[in-house]
Amino acid sequence: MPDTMQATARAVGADVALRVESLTIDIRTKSGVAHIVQDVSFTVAKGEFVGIVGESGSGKSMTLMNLLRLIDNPNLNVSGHVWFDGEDLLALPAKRLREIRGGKIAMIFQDAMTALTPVYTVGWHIAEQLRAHRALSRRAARERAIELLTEVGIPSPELRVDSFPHELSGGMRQRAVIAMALACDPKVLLADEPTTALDVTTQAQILDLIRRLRTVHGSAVVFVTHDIGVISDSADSILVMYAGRVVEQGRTVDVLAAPQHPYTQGLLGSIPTPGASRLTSQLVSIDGSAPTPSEQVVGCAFRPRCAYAFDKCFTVPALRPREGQADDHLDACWLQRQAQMDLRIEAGS
Amino acid sequence: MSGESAMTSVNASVRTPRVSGEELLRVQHLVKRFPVNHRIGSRRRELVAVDDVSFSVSRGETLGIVGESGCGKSTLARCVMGLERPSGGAIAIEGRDLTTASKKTMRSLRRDVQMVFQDPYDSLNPRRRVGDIVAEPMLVHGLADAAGARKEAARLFDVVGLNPRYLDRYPNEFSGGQRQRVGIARALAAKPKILVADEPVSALDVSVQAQVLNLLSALQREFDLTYIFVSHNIDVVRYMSDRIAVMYLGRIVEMASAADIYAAPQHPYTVSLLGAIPNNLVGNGAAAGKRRRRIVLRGDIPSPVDRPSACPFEPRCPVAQEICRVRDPEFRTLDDGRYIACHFPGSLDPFEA
Repeated sequence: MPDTMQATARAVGADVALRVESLTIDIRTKSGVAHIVQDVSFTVAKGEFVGIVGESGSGKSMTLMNLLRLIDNPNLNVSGHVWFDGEDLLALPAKRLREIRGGKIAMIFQDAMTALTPVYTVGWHIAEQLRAHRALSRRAARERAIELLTEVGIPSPELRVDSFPHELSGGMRQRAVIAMALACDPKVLLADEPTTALDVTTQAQILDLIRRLRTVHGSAVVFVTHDIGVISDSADSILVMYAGRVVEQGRTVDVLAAPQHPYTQGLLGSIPTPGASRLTSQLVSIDGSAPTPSEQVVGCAFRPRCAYAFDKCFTVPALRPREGQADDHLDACWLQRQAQMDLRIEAGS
Repeated sequence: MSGESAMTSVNASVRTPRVSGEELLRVQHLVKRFPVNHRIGSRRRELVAVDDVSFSVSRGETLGIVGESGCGKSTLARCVMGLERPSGGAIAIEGRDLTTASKKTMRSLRRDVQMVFQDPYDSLNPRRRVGDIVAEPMLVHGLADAAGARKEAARLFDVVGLNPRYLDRYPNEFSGGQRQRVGIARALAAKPKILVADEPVSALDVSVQAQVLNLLSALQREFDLTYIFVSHNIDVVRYMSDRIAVMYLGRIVEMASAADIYAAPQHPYTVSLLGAIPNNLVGNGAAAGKRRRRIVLRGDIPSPVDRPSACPFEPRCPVAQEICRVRDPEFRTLDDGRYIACHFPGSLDPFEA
């Protein structure tokens, strides 16, 4: 790639924690190649909270998992770059990548029960991180594990360190997983729907914890969710994904105040805002449902469901800033660009 | 903030009396206990899923039931459906008691209450054509013959926004939202008076949820249906409901008009539930100039097997006092007509100063 050198130069910029460039993921299936993720690029600044929002099948989790090459499948073809500390994680040898996984970039998952081994104690899980990445002794690791459990707000940590995962509630388990993730003071925390399986009041506790830890440890957070509401007051910036592509991205305040893509608009209109009633407002519903990765939509993937679709939409629109919007607020929609496009073609010819 | 000053704002809030007022369903002192085998050799224990719950629902009204996992909301819904036999109390539909009904009365009562389930994948038989699934309630209740039921199924498909040409397809050929429409058509087929919807949109993608919520709203207007709408999502419950009952650990802790619950919640748990919504979208439903206080509760919901002896919310309550540990608060009516079970209603301010 010709722009690789330039990209590397940018990626090592002092305030960038992680830079994803043109991440593309294909899966070979019996019926052909399915494009799971296409051309996803974003930058995570040090200490920044980035939210990735999308529905099932939008490619949000695949994007996150592949930042650390967590899916080992010969039918999976991942291309692009994930720059971290001047290295491309997608090109790194397995041994070096192991040092980064858990050591410098940690991950928490939706289902804390499956993220923990049922036959080992909570303390063992945390100590394993420390012994692998920090070469701590057994005793020191155990002491540090208790400290970490205290930090994530687990009551009587000196007892809980010897508990097995099934002895903890869902919220406690997620806390234990967060303690594991924090063990090595990661620069980036990847979170895949960590609050989706939890109750509302427990979700508030976990979000609060993630925010607090981010302040204390200065870790950047990449948080994947299907619920734009969950990250609306935590995320600094948001990426909205649809059918494997980013359709809108920008600072959270900008995207929420003035969503540009019809999908983002529909997504925000389809959740009842707090206090809204069916007697006074109707929800905006998006007709139909999202295409599966094996269904190839010509042009913009949202076109079949879009109320504004027109002939231009048979070509895939690029992510671009829009006149009147912030420079870093991008969206991929042809709408209201027709006039500008026409002018440009005339000028060029 | 004292309870009194919170109450004044209640009276100022808007009420929407669009309901007939004619009582359709009455639940009195309902109790549902399940035996639990805790450990071999230990004494038999009981899980109290629903503990002394009373409410009534008027014709044309939507009663929303909101609560977190283990609060008993689904068990309550299943009792009203006649799917669970209550351990105590009474459930009456138009004055006929479901708990003591004969088999024959039971059958007609079952027709009166129909249910829309949470999971549209598990609640449709994968080996049956959707047309047959929708026709079955009509055949079971003798509402139509085979030909008539099929014709009606086609009409119902049209009503719920599905193409009647799909009658002969199998559930796996439909998306989640479409399956939920099939489930709604099946519920409507029995011509019920009450529709119990237990988390009807929780398994659906966000952009599809609105389709189903809009459909349920439209059907209610069109067929004059009465809804019991159960969900963990208080925004969704508020959107669909005229009145809201907030449940915690098997109890209704607060019940009031949906508008009052949002504008001036009185029970500390209701306040906390609203304060836990991580939502920055539009000021979180607070009145102009006010910002909803973010409340992070300590601890977890206690297990229904090990319930606190007095107020169930006391161990997590930010404003609990000595009496809350000793005496169980009664479920009582406040001056503004709302029901509450709390010694100190209104003592947790829902808004930032």
